[in-house]
Amino acid sequence: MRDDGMNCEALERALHEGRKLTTEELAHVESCDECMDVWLTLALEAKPGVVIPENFAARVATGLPARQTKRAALRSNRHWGLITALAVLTLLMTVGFGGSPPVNSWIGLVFLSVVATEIAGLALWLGPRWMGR
Amino acid sequence: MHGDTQFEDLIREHQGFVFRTLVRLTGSREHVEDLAQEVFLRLYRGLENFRGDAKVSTYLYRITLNVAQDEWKRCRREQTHLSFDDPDAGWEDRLPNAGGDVERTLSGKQMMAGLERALGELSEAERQVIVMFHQEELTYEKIAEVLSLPLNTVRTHLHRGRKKLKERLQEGRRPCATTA
Repeated sequence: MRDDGMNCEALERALHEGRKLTTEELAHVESCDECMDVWLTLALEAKPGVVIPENFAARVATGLPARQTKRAALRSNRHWGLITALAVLTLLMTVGFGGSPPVNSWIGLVFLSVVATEIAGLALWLGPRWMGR
Repeated sequence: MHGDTQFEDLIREHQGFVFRTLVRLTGSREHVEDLAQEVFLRLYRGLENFRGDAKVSTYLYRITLNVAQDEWKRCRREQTHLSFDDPDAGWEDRLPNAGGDVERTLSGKQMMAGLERALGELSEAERQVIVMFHQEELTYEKIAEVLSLPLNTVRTHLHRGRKKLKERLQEGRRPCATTA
């Protein structure tokens, strides 16, 4: 019980029960720490009434296929990139180890091996990542 | 990763949370549908790289908070007056003290408008924690995970936020200084 004659327990019960408060009761809530705590909790727990359009989910979902196609195209480009890398690697190996004079020297072989290893490494590293997407 | 039907189900499951949180955090209903759409598009794009080491819901909560934060900043930048007293807002009508005679309803609505204003004056983190804890009933642990904050920081934000709200609501009630 407080100076204003309000019973905090009764008021808190009223708040929990959802009873409409009088102007005096509301004034008390604003000035009483305990009642304000209860009112604040209830006010914050009250979910805002929002109107979600009935077809919202469907509308958002139908906006997605276009991006999927774009992604598929990108994946396809990456796939061709991998094939090109493997083709270059095969060509280098054939030319390098096939015995054609300009490359078939000690320095040429070392250079070719380094390049071929690098390309093979890249293909092995990137290949599964691209294909797996 | 997801078929369209699955994603549509995912939207249906979480759209309530997304709309409510956006309304509460931005203090406006004006662009809420566009913002919600942005949330789900970001989620969809993100799901491509989603590794499953966190729940999709956690990821969605994060995106929702980010979108709300961006909108809040945009409004502040444009110095747009946010519609805390939006007459279409109907959520105060759901409160226990709403309805009844005109004076009573007005008084209850004034308190609610005051609360909305006070929420807008809190720090971003305090507002987010309060909305997630009270409105969406998330646990401290979940909030900490969503915001990537230590548990104690979440508790502190909640405590400080509530304290500030109470102070501001009670300050608002004090009579203005009268001039002779």
